[in-house]
Amino acid sequence: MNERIQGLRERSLQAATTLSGERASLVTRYYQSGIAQKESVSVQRALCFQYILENKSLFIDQDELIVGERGPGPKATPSYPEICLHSLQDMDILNSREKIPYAVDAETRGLFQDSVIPFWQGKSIRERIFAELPQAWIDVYEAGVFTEFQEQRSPGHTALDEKIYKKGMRDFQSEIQKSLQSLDFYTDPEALDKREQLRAMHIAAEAMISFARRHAQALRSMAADANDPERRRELLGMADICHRVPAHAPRTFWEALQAYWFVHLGVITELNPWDAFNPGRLDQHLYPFYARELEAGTLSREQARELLQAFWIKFNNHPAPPKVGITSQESNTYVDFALINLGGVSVDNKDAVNDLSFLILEVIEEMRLLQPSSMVQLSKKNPDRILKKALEIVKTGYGQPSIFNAEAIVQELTRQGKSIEDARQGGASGCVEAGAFGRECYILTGYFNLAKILEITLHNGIDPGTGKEIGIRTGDPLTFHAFDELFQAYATQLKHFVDIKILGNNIIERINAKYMPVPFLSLLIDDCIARGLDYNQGGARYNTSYIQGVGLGSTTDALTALKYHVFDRQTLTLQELLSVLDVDFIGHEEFRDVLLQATPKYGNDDEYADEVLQGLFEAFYRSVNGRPNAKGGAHRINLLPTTSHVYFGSVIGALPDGRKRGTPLSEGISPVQGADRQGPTAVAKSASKIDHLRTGGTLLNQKFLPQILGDAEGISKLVHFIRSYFRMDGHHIQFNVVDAVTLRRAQEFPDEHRDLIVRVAGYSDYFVDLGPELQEEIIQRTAHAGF
Amino acid sequence: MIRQDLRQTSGVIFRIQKYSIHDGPGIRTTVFFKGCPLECWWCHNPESISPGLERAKPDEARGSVEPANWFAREVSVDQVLMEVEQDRIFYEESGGGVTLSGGEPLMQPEFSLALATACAERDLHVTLDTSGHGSGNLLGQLLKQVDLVLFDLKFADTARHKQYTGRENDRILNNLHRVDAQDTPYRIRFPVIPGITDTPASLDGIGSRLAGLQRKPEIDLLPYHSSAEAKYKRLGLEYRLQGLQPPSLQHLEAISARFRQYGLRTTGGQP
Repeated sequence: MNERIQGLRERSLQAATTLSGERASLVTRYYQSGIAQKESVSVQRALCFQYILENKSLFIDQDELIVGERGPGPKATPSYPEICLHSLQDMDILNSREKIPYAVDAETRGLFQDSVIPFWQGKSIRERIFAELPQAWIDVYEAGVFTEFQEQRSPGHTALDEKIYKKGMRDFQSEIQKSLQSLDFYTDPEALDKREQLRAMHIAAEAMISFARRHAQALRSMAADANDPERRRELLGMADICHRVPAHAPRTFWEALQAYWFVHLGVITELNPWDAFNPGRLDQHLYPFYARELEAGTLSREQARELLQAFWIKFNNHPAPPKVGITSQESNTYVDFALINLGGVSVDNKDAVNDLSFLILEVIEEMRLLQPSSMVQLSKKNPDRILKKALEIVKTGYGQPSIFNAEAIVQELTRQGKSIEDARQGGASGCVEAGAFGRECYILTGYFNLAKILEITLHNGIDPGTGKEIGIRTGDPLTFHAFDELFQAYATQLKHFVDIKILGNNIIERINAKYMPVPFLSLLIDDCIARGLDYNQGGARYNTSYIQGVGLGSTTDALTALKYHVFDRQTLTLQELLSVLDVDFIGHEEFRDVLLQATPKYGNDDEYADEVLQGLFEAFYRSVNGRPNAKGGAHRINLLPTTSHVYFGSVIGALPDGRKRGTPLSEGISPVQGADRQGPTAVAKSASKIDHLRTGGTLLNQKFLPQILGDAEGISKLVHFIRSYFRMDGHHIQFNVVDAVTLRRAQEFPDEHRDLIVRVAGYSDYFVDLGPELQEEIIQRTAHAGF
Repeated sequence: MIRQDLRQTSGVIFRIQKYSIHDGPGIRTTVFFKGCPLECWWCHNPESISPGLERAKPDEARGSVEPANWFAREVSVDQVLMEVEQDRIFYEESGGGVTLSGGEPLMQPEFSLALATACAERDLHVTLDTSGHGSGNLLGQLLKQVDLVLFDLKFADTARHKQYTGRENDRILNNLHRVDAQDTPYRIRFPVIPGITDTPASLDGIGSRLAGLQRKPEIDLLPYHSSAEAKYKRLGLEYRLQGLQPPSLQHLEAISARFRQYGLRTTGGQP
C-alpha cells in the first residue's frame, strides 16, 4: 500500500459515521416546490433524482483517484424520508446507541423537526405499508415470526453485469428512444405507462451524466489550484474521465472503475435499496481493460492495484443507511452487503479465473476493510491455486473471502427458469443469494423464524410470549400419539405463517411498484428498457421474492429431541417436557443435560437427526416455492440469517433441544452452536442432506482454530474439504479463523481490538461492534481443531 | 470377499476421528485402537495405553469438551466400516482414507487384520500407524493389506528406549527391517522431544540405522508440544515432562540438516 492509499484508508477508517440531512432536505424541497406535480410518479421520481444530483454538495479528497460520495463527505449517510421517516426519537437513539451509532448534529435534528418530518409525516412508504397491512400480519410480525425487509428500505437486492463496461448512459438513452418509438398506442393499452417510465429512465440517465460532469468541473478547478504539477496532470486526467463516463462506455481500466462508481452512487442515492449495489463479477468485467492496457503498456499491475485500492476505499466510505426498530435487530451493521464475486465460469462455461482475480485477492488482503465484502465462486474448472490464495487470506482471521460453489449457483438459477447463459453470468450477492446479475430483481422479503413456529405449534396456535392466538388450532399436542402428527401440525402452522407473509409481500411489492419506482436502477437491469417497465414493477427479466428460513439447526434439534425422547423411546412425556420448558430448565439441569448430551443432533452425520432436517426443509420448501409474487415471478426459499437468529432467539422460550429461553438460534444451515461434535466433515455431510439446488442460497459457517490452517498442508486439506462439500452440491461455506481466547480478550478490552473483523453470517463485521449476545454466540460456534 | 465372521470381529477402540489431517495423505478417518505396549513419556493419548474397556476417570471426563473421546468402546469391523464409509467422498476428493492408529493396532491382531482387509476390499486407502512393537508375523500380513505404514521410531539405542518407553526396541528394529524388505511404502515418524530424543548421539543413532536400510525412508519430524499436559492432569496421571518447551524452528532445521548428512529426507517440523 503506497502512502497515498494509506492516507485515504486511514481517513476512511477514522471518519465518524454521521446522519446527513442533505438528501432529506433536497427531497423535501423538491416535493414542496411542486415542480413535478403534473408529472407521472415515475417522472416525478426521475426529476427528484435529478434534483438531488444537481444540488447535492460534492466531496473530493485531495488524494483521491476514484471520486464521488453519496453524502457531503465520507461516511455521511443520508436519510430517505420518502421510504422511512426517522423520528426525532429515532435520531436520538441513533446518536446515542452504543453499537452502530450514527452521529446526528443539532442542525440535522432541527432540519428534521422543522421541515422534513412535518412534510413527510404519513407519506413515507413505511407508513403506507403499515397502514395497509392487516392486523393479523402486524400481530405475527410483532411476535417475531418474521421480519420485513421493505419496511424501511427499498427493494434492491441485485448486482450488475457487464453492461456498463460496454455501454454508457448515452447508449441507454438511444435504447430508450428505440423503445419509445416502438410504442404502439393503438394496440398496447399500457403504452402510456411505458412512455412515462421510459421518459423517467431517460431523465435519470441525463441526471447521472451531469452529476459526473459536475465532478469533472470540480476536478478542473482543483487542478487549477494544485501546486504539484504531477497531481495537476492527474486531476485533469480524472476530469476527462468524469466527462467521458458514464456518459459513454469506458475505454480504460480507470474509466471502468470510475464508471461503476458513479453508477453505484446513482443507485444508492436514488433510494436506499437493500444490499446497496454490487459490481458483481468484478474480475470478469475489468479483465478486458486490464489485459488490453497491460499489453499496450498504458497500465502496470501496480497502477491497477492502486486504482483498485482507491475503489475499495470508496465502498468503505459508504456505511449502510441507519436502521431502526426490528430491522436494526435483524441486521445491525454498517455493512451494506456489496459482495465482490471472483472466479467462477464464463458465459461459455470456461474457467474464468484470471490474473485480476489474484490481484483483487491481494487488494482484499492488503486493505482489510469492512466493505466491500468478497467471495470466490469456486468452479470445478477453477484451479486450486485461487482457493489456496483465498484461504491464505481467510487464515489471517479476517473472515473474507467466503467460498461459493459456482456449479451449484448455475443449477439453482437454471432450476428457477433462467437461461444457462444468464445463470453463468450470475453469482451470489448480499450474503449468499444467487442471482442472474444484471437481469434479475431478487429481493429478500424477510427472515422467517422456523423455531418460533414450533413453539406456537406446541401451544396449539398460541404464542406463549404474548398469550395471543396468532397461529391456527392444530390440536393439543398432548393428544398426539405419533411424531408424524406433531410434524403435520407444525407443517400446517408453517404454511399458515407463510401465507400471511406472502399476503404482506404482495401488498408491499405493489406499494413499491405504484409509489416508488426506481428509474435509474431500471436503466441497469435487463429488460426494463426493452419492456418499458420499472424494476419495482417487474421490468427485470427475472423476478424472485425470497423468504429466508432461520433456525434450521435449532428447529431440527428440537423436533429430533421430541421424536427421540417422547415418541420413539418414550422416556419422557410431552407434558413433562413442556413443563420443564415453561420454567426454562431451572431446577432441571440433569433433564437438560440429557437433551443436550444424549440426543441425536444435526451436524454429526447422524441419520436420525438429519432425517428430521430433511422433513423440515421439505415442509418449508413446499410452503413457499413457486408461489407467485407481485412482479410476475415466484417466491423461493433460501437459508441465511444475517443477525436475525439473535433477535429470533430473543422471542422464543426454552426449546426441547436444551436451548435456554432468549438465547440465539442456530444460524444459516450451521448446526446449533456446540452441537456438532464429529468435526467438519460430519457437518458438511449433514448440511448437504438438504437439497441446496432447490434454494436460492444457504449459509454454512465453520469456525476453525488458526492452527488448522497453520501450514500449506492444512490449507491443502481444507481445499479438499471444500471441494468435497461442493461435490455434494453445498452452496456456500465461510470460515471464522480466530481463537476463542482472542475473542474473549476483545470483549474485555474492546478498544485494543477495534480492528478485529470476524465472520458473522454472510458478511464480516467488527467484533467489538456486535451485540453481546452475538459476540457470545460467535465464541460458542464450535471451533474445529486440527487433529 | 472377506469372510462374514471376520466382519463381526470386534476390537476395543477409544476414538474414531474424522477429518484427520496429520495421519497420512489427504483427509482421513483415524481409528484409535486402545492398548499400547509402550508408555512413552510424551504420549498424547495416555488414556489409550491400558487395553480393555475401563473408563478413564469418568468424573473428570464428563466436564470435558469432547466427552465421547474419553470412553473406550467395543466395536465390530462392520461398525467401524459404517463410520468410515460416511466420509468416503472426502477421501476420494483428497486422496485420503483410513488410518489405524492407537494405542497400538498390533496389540489387537485379529481386529486390525480384519479391519485393514475389509477397508482394502472396499478400495479405501489404508495407513497403518504403528510403534512397531508387535508380532512380526502379523505385521507381515498387514503389509499386504495396507497402502502406507507410518513407523514410529524414537531411539536406535535400546537402553534409552527402555528408559523413556518402558520397553526395549529389539522387536521394533526387527520389524523396521521387515517393513523395509517389503514393497509397501513407509515413512518414519520421529518425535522430537527436546533433550530426550534429539541429543546428537540419538540423532546419529537413528540416522545411521535408517541410512543402512534399503529404501532410505523419509522422516516426518513430530515436534513435541505440551497440549497433552492438561489431559494428564484431568486423568490424575503424573506428567513427567512438565515445563518442557517445544523445539524451535531453527532447532528442527538443524535436526533436518543432521539427517540429511545421512542421505535422509525430512518433512514437517512446524512447531
